[in-house]
Parts: sequence; structure tokens; C-alpha cells
Amino acid sequence: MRTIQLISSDNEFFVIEEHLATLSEHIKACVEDADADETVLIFLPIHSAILSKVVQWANIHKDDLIPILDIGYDSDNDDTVEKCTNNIDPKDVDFLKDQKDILMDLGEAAVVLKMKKLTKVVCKTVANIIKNSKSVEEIRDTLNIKCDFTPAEEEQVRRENGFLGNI
Amino acid sequence: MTKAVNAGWKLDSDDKACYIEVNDEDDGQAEPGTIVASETDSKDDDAEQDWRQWSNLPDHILERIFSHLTIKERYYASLTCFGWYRAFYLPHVWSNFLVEDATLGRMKYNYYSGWQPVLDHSRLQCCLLSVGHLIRGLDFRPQVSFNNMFQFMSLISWAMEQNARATGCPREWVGCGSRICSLNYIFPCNMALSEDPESVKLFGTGGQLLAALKRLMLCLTAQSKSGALSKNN
Repeated sequence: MRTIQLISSDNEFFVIEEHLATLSEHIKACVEDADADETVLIFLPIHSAILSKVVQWANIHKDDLIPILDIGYDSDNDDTVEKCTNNIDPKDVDFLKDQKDILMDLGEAAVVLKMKKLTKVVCKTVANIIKNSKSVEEIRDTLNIKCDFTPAEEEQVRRENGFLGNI
Repeated sequence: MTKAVNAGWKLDSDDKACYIEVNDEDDGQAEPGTIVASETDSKDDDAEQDWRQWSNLPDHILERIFSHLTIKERYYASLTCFGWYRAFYLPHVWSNFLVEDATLGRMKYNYYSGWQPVLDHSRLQCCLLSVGHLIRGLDFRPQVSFNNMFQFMSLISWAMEQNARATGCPREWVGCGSRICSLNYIFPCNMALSEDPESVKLFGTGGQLLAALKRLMLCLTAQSKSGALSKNN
């Protein structure tokens, strides 16, 4: 029996089941090279607080592994389905509902681990937050973005594309 | 223990992981401290540092977030910080330009049909000047307002014709539409159903629209792009 252990940046261990590894191309690639009864240790530049969330997310989707792999999430090239942001899996909506402050870390972790589906879900959730915000300040507040424009720069940016906003 | 070293080596050989570590290093430099420190306290004690990292997300993530947004939402997102302002101009964000009834329009009152979106020429022109060179595909989805489609096609055809002229084109329009390699036009076939049943609607053959579409397609084929032109329905 092959055991997979993930080690976070602060040296915490996460033992995961082998079939969960298929959700992450990075882990899959690491495991593929290992022998059948080997213990695979994978060091990740991800903090345990985030990594535990990722493992939790993977566990939520434990039962629908096969559809995830089959659809491939790359094959739905239809742009309307792809661009649509109201088709997030209810399980994911629930999971990410109160996680606004770690959305960015989750996104980064998803990139490191090459988890396509998690990446997509996070992007759509962020897009929805932007869509539901009434003002630029609200976007910054919700997503914890600090404005790094000088007032002059902000004015210039506003003028540059101002035609796109409300007249 | 050898196994642990092995696994660590596998990770090190991975491009992505290396890249992220470099990123961590950058953070470390921004805030005086060691790389190890920045790795361990990424979550707990520097909430005020979080904002810095949004703009550090890889471009393809930002592109993906932005491509979910409408043009207006992209604009507002671009006002939040410099990283997102940069993201506004990432090529993939604009790769498929969706033209719907209300795209770049303003509402105008019409005695017969009430408030209708009417294409705003100055906004369209600004938009094409700003991102026209990034557009790789046009996707027309009219519901009722064929006129907006007609106007849109006319302007972008004009821009492309300017680019094709031997004598050179106005500098600000150079490159506009030059990357377009796919065209999608979906005719609404349920117009009669979508409106209120009382009104009897008259439809023309849309000769003007077809002429505009033809003009646009001539422009596109003149560009002799390798991509396939597709025309739906």
C-alpha cells in the first residue's frame, strides 16, 4: 500500500489517500515515479492552514472523482459554459462561502498543486465577488486588496478606461 | 530518510514549485526577514501583507478571473490595484469578445419599444482603440437589437480596412482587429416568441446586416488568417 504524505511549509504532515492524489497533477506526477509500497513524501511551499483546506476540499470531492477526470474540465471548451459563473458546484459554494480571506491562498495553492478544478472554482468565486460588489472600495474590502495607486495614478487609470464604466 | 530526500528532490525539479519559492523570496525581500520566516508566517501574523499577494498571482489566474467578468466589471476591477490594472490588458482576457445587445451601449427611450440599449459609438471607439489589437475572436449574440450589431461590425470593419490600406492607417488604429481569427454569429430564431404576444412584429430580411457581416468577413479573409471562420446557424 502506497502512502502519500504532504508536508506543509511549516512542517506539518498530511496523510492523504491515494485516490485523492488524482485531483492534483503535481501530486500525481510525484507518485507515479514511486514504487508500489513506498511512502511518498511531498514537500510543498504551502502553509498548513491552507493545505488543510485543500485536503478538506479534496475530501468533499472524493466521491465525484470519476466525473471530474472524465469531463476533464478542459474539454468544456464551450465558451458560454466556461465563462458562466453561476454554475459552481453547490458543495464548493458552501465550502468557499466563509473563506473569502483565504481565496487567494487557495488559488495559489491550486496553482502549485496543479489542481485544475480547484483553480476554476476559486476564479469563479472571485469573479462572483467582483460582480456582486457595488463599488471599487467594496471589491478591495471584500478581497483584502490594498490600493497601491497614488491619487494621480488612480485618476489617470480612471480616465484611461473611464468610458467603460457608467456615464 | 533517503526517501524524504528523494521526494524533496522531485519537488525541486518541478518548475512550478521552484517558481513559487522565488515568489516567496520576493516577499521576504519586501519585508526585511529571511526566506524561512516568510514561508512560515505566510498566513498567521501578517494579515496586512495579504493584499500584496493578490497581484502576485500568476497571470493565467488573473486572466481567468477577468475573463469571467463583463467589460464594465473588468474596468472596476482594474481600478482596485496596479496588479489588476495590468491584468486588464492581459491578452487572454480579451481573446473572445462577446457582443450582445447591451454591449457598450447606453439606454435610450424609444416611444414604441421603451428603453432600449443603443450602441454608444464613442465608447466602442475608445474600447477598440484600447484593446482592439488583443481581440482574437468575435462572438455576436443579438437578441433584438440588430442595429447595434450592424454598427459594431461597421466600425470594426472600417478599422480593419484602414489597417489593410497600402497608404498606411491612422497611427492609433494600427493593429486593431489584426488578430481576429474566429467569428461567431448566432441568429436569434425565437424572436417572435420572446416578445409579448400582443404585438405583431415585422421583420425585414436584414439586408443591411448581412451586408455588414459580409464586409466584416471579407476583411477577415483578406487578413488571410489561418484560423477557421465559423458561422453558426
